[in-house]
Amino acid sequence: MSNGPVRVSAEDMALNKAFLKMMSEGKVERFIKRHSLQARLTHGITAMSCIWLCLSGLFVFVPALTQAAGPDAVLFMRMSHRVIGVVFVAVPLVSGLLAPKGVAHVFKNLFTKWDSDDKKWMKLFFPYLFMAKWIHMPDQHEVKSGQRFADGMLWFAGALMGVTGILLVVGSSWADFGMAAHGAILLLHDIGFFLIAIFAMAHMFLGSGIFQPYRGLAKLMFGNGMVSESDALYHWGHWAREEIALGENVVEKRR
Amino acid sequence: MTTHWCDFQNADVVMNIGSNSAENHPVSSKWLNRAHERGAKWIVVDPRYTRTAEVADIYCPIRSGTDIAFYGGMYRYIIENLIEPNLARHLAGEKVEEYNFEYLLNYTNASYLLNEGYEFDPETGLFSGWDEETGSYSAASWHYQVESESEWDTSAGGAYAWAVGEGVPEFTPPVVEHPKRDMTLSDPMCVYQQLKRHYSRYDMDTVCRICGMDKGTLELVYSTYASTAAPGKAGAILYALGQTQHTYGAQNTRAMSVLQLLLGNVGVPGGGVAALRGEPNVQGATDMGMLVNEHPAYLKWPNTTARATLRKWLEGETYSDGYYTNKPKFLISSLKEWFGDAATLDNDYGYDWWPKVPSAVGDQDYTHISTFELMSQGVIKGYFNWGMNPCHSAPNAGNARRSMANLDWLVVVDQVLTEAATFWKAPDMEPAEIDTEVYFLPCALIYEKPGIILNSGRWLQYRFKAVEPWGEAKPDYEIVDMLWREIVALYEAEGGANPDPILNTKWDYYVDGKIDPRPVAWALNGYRVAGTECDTSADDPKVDLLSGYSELAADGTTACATWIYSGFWNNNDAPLDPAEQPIARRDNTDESGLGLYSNWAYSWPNNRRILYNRASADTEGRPWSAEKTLVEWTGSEWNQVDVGDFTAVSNGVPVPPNNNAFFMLWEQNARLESYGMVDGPLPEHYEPFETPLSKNIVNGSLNNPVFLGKDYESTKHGTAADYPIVATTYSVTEQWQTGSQTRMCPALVEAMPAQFIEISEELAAEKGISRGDKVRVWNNRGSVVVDVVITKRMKPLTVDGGMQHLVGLTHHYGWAGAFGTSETLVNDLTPNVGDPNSQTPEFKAFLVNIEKA
Amino acid sequence: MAEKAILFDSSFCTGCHGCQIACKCWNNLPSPTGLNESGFSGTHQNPPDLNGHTRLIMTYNELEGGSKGVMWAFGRRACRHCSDAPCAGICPSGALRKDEETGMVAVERSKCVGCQYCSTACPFDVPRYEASGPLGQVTIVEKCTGCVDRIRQGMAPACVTTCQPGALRFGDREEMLEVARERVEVLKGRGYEDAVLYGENEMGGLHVIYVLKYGVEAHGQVPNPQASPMADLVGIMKPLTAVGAGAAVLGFAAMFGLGVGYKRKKLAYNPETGDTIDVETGEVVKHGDGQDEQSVKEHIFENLPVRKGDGHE
Repeated sequence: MSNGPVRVSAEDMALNKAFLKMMSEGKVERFIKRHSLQARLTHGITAMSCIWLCLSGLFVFVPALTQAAGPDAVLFMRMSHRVIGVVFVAVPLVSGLLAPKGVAHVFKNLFTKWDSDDKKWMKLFFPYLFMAKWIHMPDQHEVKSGQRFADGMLWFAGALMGVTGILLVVGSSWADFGMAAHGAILLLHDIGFFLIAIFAMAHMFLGSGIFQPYRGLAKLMFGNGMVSESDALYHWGHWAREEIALGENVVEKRR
Repeated sequence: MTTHWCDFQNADVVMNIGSNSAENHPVSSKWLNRAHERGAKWIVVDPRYTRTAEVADIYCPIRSGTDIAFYGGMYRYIIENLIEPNLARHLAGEKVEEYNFEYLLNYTNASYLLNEGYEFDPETGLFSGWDEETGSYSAASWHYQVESESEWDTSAGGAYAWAVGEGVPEFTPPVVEHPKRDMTLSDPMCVYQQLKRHYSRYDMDTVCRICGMDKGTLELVYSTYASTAAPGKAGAILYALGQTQHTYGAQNTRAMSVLQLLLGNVGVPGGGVAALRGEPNVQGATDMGMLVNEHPAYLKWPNTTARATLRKWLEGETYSDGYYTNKPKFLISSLKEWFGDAATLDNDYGYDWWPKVPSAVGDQDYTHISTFELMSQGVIKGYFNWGMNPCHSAPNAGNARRSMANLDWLVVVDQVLTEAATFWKAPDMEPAEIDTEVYFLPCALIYEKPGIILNSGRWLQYRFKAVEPWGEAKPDYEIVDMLWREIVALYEAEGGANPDPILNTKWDYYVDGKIDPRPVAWALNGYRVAGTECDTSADDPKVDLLSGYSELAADGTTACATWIYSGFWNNNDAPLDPAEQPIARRDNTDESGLGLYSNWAYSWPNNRRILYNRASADTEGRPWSAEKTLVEWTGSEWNQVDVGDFTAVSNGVPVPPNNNAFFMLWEQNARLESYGMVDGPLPEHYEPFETPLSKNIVNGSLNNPVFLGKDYESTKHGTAADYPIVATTYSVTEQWQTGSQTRMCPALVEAMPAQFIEISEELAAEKGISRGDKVRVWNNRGSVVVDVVITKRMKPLTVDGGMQHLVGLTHHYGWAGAFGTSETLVNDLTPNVGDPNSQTPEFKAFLVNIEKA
Repeated sequence: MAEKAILFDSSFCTGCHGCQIACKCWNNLPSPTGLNESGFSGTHQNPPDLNGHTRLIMTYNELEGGSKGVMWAFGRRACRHCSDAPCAGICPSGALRKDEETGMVAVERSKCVGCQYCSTACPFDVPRYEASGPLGQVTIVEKCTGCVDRIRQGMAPACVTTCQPGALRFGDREEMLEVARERVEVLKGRGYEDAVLYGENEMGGLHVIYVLKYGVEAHGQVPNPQASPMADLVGIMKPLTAVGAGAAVLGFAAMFGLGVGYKRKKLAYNPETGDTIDVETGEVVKHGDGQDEQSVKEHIFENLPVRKGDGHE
């Protein structure tokens, strides 16, 4: 987003006016398609699994909770931790296999090079969180620089949890890795939990729009997967302009 | 044993030899540890470093089967170091602290003169009396020279008036011989001088050459154990099957007795010759005549020669002096129990109905080893296999199962299907070619029936039934009763070849018409025939129990099946209530302070806890050690802490001390030399049937000249050229015998899941065997595959200058079983040869070869 | 009740396996029942180690030397019941906890969640974990319980009761230590110079006191045991996660509060001109798609009310 106003030529001004008139007369609002149905489903299922895994994992992690819940509830939690753990690991994997291009796209974005706006955005991010009313942020590409970092951490922590979780199940049923290895795996699982706890909460706070400037973004993953032109310009200015200019993913809706 | 488990705590030196008490008799450790805590030294002599060796102070290795050389060396050590330097001092009246001359001179036959014809020839390895033709000895020259003779006083009021009483079978009482003695021990024919001469060949270097230990260790063992020669000190020898299972096993036992007598260790607290019995009730089985050569209570069976008639038995077996002058009472009472009303003076109390053991020279032997020979020859066609598993436990077990395949029928009575019950299932058998009809009768386990158990210390205890038997299983006595009734009915209906012994046998042990062990207990205890009906009603039992064996008579008025037990069940006020009998006592207070626990259970004979306890005090009746008083002459009477094993009172009058310390012998002195053995009057070292040596180092006979089974074709002797490794067998604590019971317990199978061979690291390296391998062990008789334990606890020995490997095998697994089994049986390897006195097989020393399987 | 202890005196032990089997029997622990399922270890030590159904094993070390040429050092491998029991400290569910009365580390299997933190924490490698079912849903943490159930009824632990040679004793810890000290002296007097008392101070004091005839390592004991560092790290992770998560929540609350009342312009983009336009005012807020040119500082301060009255709408 830019702060404006910017002076433009009269010719352009006229064109802009005509453009605005057309839009308002046609009662048309433009949206950009951002997430496919498969992506939304995958995200939804994985997110819900993750939340359940965190909650049920707490029953191992927090003695007081365990002792208050009683053996039956704990047994249920433990068993559900294993079942949902399978979902948490399997669904993204299957989804990824079905859409290899999507996976490539996601990871390409994660590791794309940071330009000056990206770097500046990141520097401004923490002040912005507390001063959103006053700070305007530099425009961003499809995935914000901070978002790339946070998503990366979630991917990493999720993978860590998945792998260590499987190893824990295997190690206590079919195989024996020895207690030192088992302890190390447990520790990694705990570190993974720490990361997930922090980054997932932040992700939820922002992504679900509890944070006022991000309001409405929940629809991206839990709605139709489309973002309005205005929101897109605010959050991912560079990307929005590209998409609108290309028009491929732009959907016009009557108001 | 001559003593009991709790008495181990009184020992000053303990020597395990041929036993592994910590392993096979775990309860013994409790008492041995008490001795150890008191400062006792503990020695273990064994081919391998055992669990017991670990808790002991001194470990001395020994080649399997060379114990007599070891003992002989110790005799020589005692003679050279304790007796010879001090004898003159003692005879001069000086007090000798380190050796008990009073014991040796007065309580043993050391001073007795042997017949002039007595001789041992080291060149041939033979004693005098050898008959080359029959391959046997005549013991005549092994007897004593006689000083004088006297006769029994059978006149009215005389000590032996009973012998000519009404109802007593006619027999000529024995003449009492008074042997010639030399109390200075200098006469060359006295037992001591002969002993000294005999063992002069057993110097320590020679012993080490034979046995394989190093001299320093041997000397430490000798000096430590010989320290118990001091008056008041006691050494206990703990032995088991490692001593008895040899072709000279009985001589091994003699050798231990001689050692203990030389050291004055018999009859004293903490001393004795302790036979650790392997089975909870094996002492009972021995007492009850479960051995083919012994009648119940250690009387002799009739035979076809010296005991062919009752009169011959009475004249030959009755001792001229000592307690066994009463033998006619024991025998007639036994006959009265056996044949009841049918036993009368006129028919010699049914003596001739008893089977007679063939005993002429060259007669067939019918003991364990020979049984299988007779099966393979087709002589024995049917076989009752009751409470044993010979297909697994017999030596040369492969021969045993092949012999059993020759039977027409086989009855196995056991708790589980044993290898014997399934001999035709052995991996090398062809069931299609076997016509034997096999019957299996399930019997109740010890906890599933009431009854009497007897431990190694001769303690009898009554135990109640804990649980019901499974399925159709029945107590043995019910099975016997069912069989008995059927057999008698058949004889009654059809007659038969020899019906009298069957039809005249008294079988009436019923309470309210049901077979019951309690009237059997009456029979074992003894009762007056008048006033007793064994077939009884629970409400109104009619019985007149004897208080003890002193009430037995030879005139047919008393009946008693096992005189030694008499007194164990003598409460006439509640004759059917086991809890009211001496054998049900459970009072563990110890008034003696010596662990006698005289109010706990009942110890035969006569609740005596330590046999020969007269020897615990000197000739004046003063205990060797004041802290260890068993019996003591107070000046006017005997103070009996333990029940005295001597005549303490005669006709109500106290008998002052004398030297009759061993009154179960006619001499009433213990025998350093004995004419009672068939293979020699003194223990002499011979090599096992299969030996790594080509000649005997101490005499000219490689093997015991009279061992059993030398002519059987199945025995298949192996030589060191083919089988250079000495093997022995033993048990582990987790499994018991053939494992039939213990392998039914998953926890025990888990704790010891296999039978194994123990080999030294040196042998393992030589044969390329490593941990986790299976090893094939073989000789002429069989080939087995077992797991391996490679251990530092087994070391090659230096025997006659060369390195000799030893291995040990456990034998608990076979093909029968639910949780743990083995395809092969270790006893396929052991030789079916045995001791000529006891017929015990030589499981403990034989030759094998091994390789990685 | 005073603190209790089991005394294991290796010099009385005959390695008979009685304690091991009594433990199995009293505690109803199954043994393999498949034909020849129990493999042979090649020594007397069977099973070779503790497992999910075995809380106590005897160990059989063989060493060269000593007055008898060989030393067969019998040992006891089971829970030592540490005073500073790291397993009880780390157990999240209360399945393992110190029995304050006796000092034993008791086990309540129904509470076990199968996390195995205890196994990783134990310096003696004792707690064993057995999971069965397709999801490992049946979990058992197996470890000696000190027979706290028996002790409360005035009995000794099952292993102690069954020990024939008197190698195991049970009583007040102080008394057992006293006996053990005396025994070590006796053994030294008997020529066992390496005889040592073990368990007095290790891990804050063990409740299984050992008299080790041939020294600590010979009998398979752990010299100078320490709780696993992994356990400490795991111990750090919990508060760290709690603090991290708490701080995050506080931060979010602050952000949420400061963000209340936030509004922003509605924007549209006219690709024809390359202008991003404020739909309400028609003002162009950005022309083209260039990189931002302001400094970070300017971004932060440009709209602050203190600096600029017109501020943001």
